[in-house]
Amino acid sequence: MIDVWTVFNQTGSFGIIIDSLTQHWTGSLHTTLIIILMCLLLVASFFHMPEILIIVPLIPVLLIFSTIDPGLQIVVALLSLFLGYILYSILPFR
Amino acid sequence: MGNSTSMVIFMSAFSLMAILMTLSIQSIDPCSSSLLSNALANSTVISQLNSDSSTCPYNSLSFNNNMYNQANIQRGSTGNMGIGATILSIFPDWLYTGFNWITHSGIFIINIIGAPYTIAVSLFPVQYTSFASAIGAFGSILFLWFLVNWFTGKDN
Repeated sequence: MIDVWTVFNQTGSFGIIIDSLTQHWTGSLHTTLIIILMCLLLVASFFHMPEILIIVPLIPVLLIFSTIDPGLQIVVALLSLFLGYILYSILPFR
Repeated sequence: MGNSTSMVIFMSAFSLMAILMTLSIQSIDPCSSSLLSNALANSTVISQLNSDSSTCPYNSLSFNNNMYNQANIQRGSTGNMGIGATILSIFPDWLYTGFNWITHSGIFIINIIGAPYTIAVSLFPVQYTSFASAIGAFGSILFLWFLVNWFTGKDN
């Protein structure tokens, strides 16, 4: 018998929020994760955070998630292109 | 910012590098532990690291090292778990039942500093761990530098 506290202790606050948004709003996990990612980038830009510090840590996580949810593969591809643009902006040989 | 032609060339080259790396690694070693090549090739290796039924061909590079001995690997082993297990053990479940800024700021910063190392180690097969560690350590120091510059308001 699974009770609500077992589920909460195993998923945590973020798991509950992501699950709720998926079930009641977006309908698919990758759409929820994309929206959260957009919000994260927006908040980071408010605080003038360098984009590379957000993009680079997300790539291995999204690679793992994309094996479960193939809808995230396009996000990984777009993030890789964005990473290419950021590296182009930083590196000195342009 | 330079002209847009060289930017497009750089971004294309960046993507082509990943594709070429995937094709070359997968052709030489279909059982490679390289994370990026496994993900791009839609390989089953990445999701079946501990399974007995493997589609990896006999006599390929990583077969004898990683796949053939899988039956002897203990299920649920705590070995080779690294920093993830350490962080989970010092931050138990009940700590997550509420949101506190100290814990989550720490996780945020640990993730940012650790990411280049994780990526570098994941990009290369397991035989090149020392080479990947050197690159990853450099990336982590570089990110620490970016972080400190951001905290001190220098903005890159």
